[in-house]
Amino acid sequence: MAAMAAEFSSGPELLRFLSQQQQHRLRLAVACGALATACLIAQWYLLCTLLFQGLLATPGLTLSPVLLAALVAVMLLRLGLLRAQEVLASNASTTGRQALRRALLQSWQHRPVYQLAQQSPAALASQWLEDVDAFDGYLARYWPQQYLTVLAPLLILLAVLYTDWLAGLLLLCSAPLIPLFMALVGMGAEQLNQRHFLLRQRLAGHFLDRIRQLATIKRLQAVAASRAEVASRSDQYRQVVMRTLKVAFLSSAVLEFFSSVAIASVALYIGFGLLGAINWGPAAGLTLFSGLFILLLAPEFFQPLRSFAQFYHDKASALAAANQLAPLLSRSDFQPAAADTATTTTPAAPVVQQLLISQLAVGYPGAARLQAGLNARLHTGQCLLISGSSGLGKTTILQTLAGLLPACSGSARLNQQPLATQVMAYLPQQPWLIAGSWADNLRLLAPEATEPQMRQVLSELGLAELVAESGLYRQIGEQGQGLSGGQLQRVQLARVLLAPTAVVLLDEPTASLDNQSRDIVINVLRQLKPKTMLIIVSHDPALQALADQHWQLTAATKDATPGLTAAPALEQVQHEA
Amino acid sequence: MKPEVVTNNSATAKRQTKAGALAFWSKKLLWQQRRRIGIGALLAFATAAFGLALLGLSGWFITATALAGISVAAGAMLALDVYLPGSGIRFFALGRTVSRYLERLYNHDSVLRQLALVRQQLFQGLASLSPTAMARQTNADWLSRLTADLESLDNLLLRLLLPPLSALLSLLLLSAVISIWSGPAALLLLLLCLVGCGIIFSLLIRYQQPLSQQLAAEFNQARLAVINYLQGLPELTAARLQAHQQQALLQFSHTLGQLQQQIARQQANAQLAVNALHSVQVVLAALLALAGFNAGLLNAPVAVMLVLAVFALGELLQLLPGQLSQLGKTRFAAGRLYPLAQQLPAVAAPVALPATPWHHLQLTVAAHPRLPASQAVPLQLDFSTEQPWWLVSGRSGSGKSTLAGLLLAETLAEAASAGARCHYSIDQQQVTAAAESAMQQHSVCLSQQNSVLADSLYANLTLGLADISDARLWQVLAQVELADWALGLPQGLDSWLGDTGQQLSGGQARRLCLARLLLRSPQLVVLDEPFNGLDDAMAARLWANIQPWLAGKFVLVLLHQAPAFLSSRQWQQLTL
Repeated sequence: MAAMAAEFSSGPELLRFLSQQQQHRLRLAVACGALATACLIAQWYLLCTLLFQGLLATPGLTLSPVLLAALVAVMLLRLGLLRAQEVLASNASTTGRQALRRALLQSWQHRPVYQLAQQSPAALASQWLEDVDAFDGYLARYWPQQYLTVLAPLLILLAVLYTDWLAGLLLLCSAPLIPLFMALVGMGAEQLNQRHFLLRQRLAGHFLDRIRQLATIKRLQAVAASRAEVASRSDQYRQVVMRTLKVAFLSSAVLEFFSSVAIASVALYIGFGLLGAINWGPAAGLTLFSGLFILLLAPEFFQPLRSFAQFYHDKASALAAANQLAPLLSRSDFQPAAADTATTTTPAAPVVQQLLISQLAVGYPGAARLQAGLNARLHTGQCLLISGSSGLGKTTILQTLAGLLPACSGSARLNQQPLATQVMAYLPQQPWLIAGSWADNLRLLAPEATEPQMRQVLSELGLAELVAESGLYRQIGEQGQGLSGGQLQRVQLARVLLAPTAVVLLDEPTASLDNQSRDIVINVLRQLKPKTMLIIVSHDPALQALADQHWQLTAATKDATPGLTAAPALEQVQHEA
Repeated sequence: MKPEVVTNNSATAKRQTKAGALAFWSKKLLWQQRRRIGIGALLAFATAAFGLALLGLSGWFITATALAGISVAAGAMLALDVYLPGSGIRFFALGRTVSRYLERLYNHDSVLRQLALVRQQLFQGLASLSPTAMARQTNADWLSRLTADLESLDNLLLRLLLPPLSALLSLLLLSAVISIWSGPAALLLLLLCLVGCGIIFSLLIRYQQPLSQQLAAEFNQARLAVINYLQGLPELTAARLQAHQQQALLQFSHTLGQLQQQIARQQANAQLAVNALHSVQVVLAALLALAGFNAGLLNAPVAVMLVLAVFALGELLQLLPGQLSQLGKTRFAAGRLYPLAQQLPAVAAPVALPATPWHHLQLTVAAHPRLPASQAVPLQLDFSTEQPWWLVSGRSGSGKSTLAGLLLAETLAEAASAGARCHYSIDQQQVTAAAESAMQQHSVCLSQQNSVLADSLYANLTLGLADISDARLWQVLAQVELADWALGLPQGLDSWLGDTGQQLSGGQARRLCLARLLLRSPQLVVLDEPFNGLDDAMAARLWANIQPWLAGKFVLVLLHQAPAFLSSRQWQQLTL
């Protein structure tokens, strides 16, 4: 198992791993492709026989229906094999990408939430969608083609060699020259590319940069000037790119040149051989049949290499994506997910539960710790209030308790189990809402809630107007104005009421609320309290009445070292009798 | 009754724009450049025709030599000119290489020219959007989609127009050549190919179109779902519901895979059909050639030549399914870019702007949905020569930036459509209508977000200005305490800033944005969190440095927490 957890050290390794997983299909695809080449050879053999018999051997002879039938059968077989190759490869690619997406989800689940939160969700989403799709070309086209580029020409070469070894030799000699020249051209293009790299990058990024800064540009009345600039920089970009392309396109010209010249020289060789002008080697044995056969095979000899060159950029884009993803993934992410542990670790929770926070220190990894030496003992029905001026780590404490952030030291345990592995409710200042109905939004965190329950809870929270007919399925914030702060808090509380948990963490639940909403929120918290443990970050004096214990954080508590003194963090600890 | 009619109309309008989008871009990109496109198409056709000629002539040559060889062996004189066809073969081989190279180069140049056109058009369109619409469309995610859409427009020329066109022209040429010997045979092959390809490609487009649209829609929904999931991660993690939500994402992954597979299978089917069609053509050509030979219509070398030319056509046809299957994607991209390109620059009606300098400026806002302070009673900001200073504070989300947008008259129209009532007056004159252009000309704003252009320091400072002397630039750089930093840059004012150049710290960027404003002399200055990213001492010095510039102007400062050094001024205060 430990060996399986190895992370991917590089993009190529991830590519190899993925193609290995799909090996079965991919190899079959290659086999189909190779067989199709064999059919191709047979097909041209039969066609040449047909033409040869018809034109030279026995003029006026009626066509052999067997020959014709065989020709058609081989053609159909070849097409079937080609299609099978495509479908197999595309299936391999689809399955591979699905596995990759699943693995990415698993890796997200294993990474601490604060790490993920540092990246923009949109960027992660495009990783999950676009970057994964960039593997398609590699799996579906490039991987099979890298084998077919060797296998298919080899088969054709064998057929040509068998027919006329000199013509075969001609093809054989030209084959290695192509990659050689292409590599030379590629190096030249790369050098040019490097020379203009910075200029090219700046010109390429110009348009998007100006779009990004459009608001500023407009405010500074520079729209017309910037538009002219977009035009001139785009034109400069074209010139710079064309300078590179002039060299880069030589590589495809090399391919074209060799395949054209090979056809031409094979044709000339065969022609003069047939004339009897070449008196040595196998030329004397040439007939119209063998000549035609070789001529038809010559362009096919180069076709796989051309496809390979076309698919080469598929590999480049897959590699770029793989380099992005490899550091995020490990082999264990590709294993089927283990059964969800959360549901199994809470069997028959006792009615009165105990939370023990001892010598807890919090802070972001790599940064100075914000608070240390935090202690508390709570049981169901109690409330802990955390207050202090901003920047002292109030929210960080909640995030640590919720398991979003590892604790610097110390622990928080619920009934002897680490709290971070337990089910709880965390209500941040800005609640999580999606563009959906009220019911959708409630079910996000209370998936089991039924419709009557939702109506009941919403009316308890004074959102009765929504319980009216079909209100639950109305879009949330329909008028595009969003919800008021009070409504937002009440949506959060509704979720807690629908899916009660042993511990509820609330971040500033009454801040910036109008009086009516504030009363409702406090009322609900009072009702909730006997059944759960509340841990509230707030300055609200009305909430102090609810609190059994109170952490008043100060700058001094920052520097406390855990274990140094009993409870320096608690300037004031109230225990209601 | 009435609303229904309206929705119907807008639905048809939407459909029309969808169909029109591709036509619009084709007209914009292809028709306007028709000369270039024509030359590019000719080059592509030449490449294809040389390919046909090369194989055809080779076939003719070896058959002719074979026959000549037989008769020479039988004792006859050699009656075949081998040099002309020989050099013809060499010419076509070389010609194909050269024209392929030129064609690719020329057409890529055309595509890059098109890109420049599209960029200008889009820039213009986006610039005429309202600030909120603009903000929606300039986030990272949207920009990456814009890039992808722009790339898809390349398909228009390189995949959707040129390959089918050169294949069609080659087919016509080939049929013309065949008709020299047999008109009916030429017609038969032409019709077979045209009808066959017509059926195959119209089926492909018809069945693939809805799928690729569905795929694109599914892709967007999946993106939304992933973003939602990531945004909810804190709550989901606490509630141990991650795995539950992941199921939904896996479902998306599955659906995407299914759709992509279906699309790939359709393309494979089209490929199969095209290959089969071509095989039938080759066999048919062989049979017709034999029949023609037996009937004495043509000799053996010509028979082989025609069969091989038909065979060479395959290389062109083979590529078409893959290229035409880009149609769905291209059409989708065209449709998405279309509305942006349609935006016309707002035609500024000639309005009489209030003369400067202004002595009095007043904004009244009532019932703005995003400005809670305006809901119960109207909110009023009053600037006068006697009391030109306003300090607005409040926590984030209380509507500070909304208020700034209104004062700058950028969001008046949106506010009105959201039900707010705004009144603007300058020097006791109601200017609500003309406010936007008045403000554009006579106000500056330091917005909360720093914006540094990827360009030189000089270009960053003089954005939108002309004829600014270097001395003036150094003066404002000194005012924001960036002069030492700028002197230390490798290329001074010409140093490149941004991702591919000099990186700025948050504080430096803040001061750079401020320096940009100091070069102007507006009537109204709006500073939204001006001290973000600056330490207190620096903020206080900067504030002192810009006092001379602020003098005689109306000033609105928005802050979540006012530092002590601001108290030297007589502020009119507002807490949101």
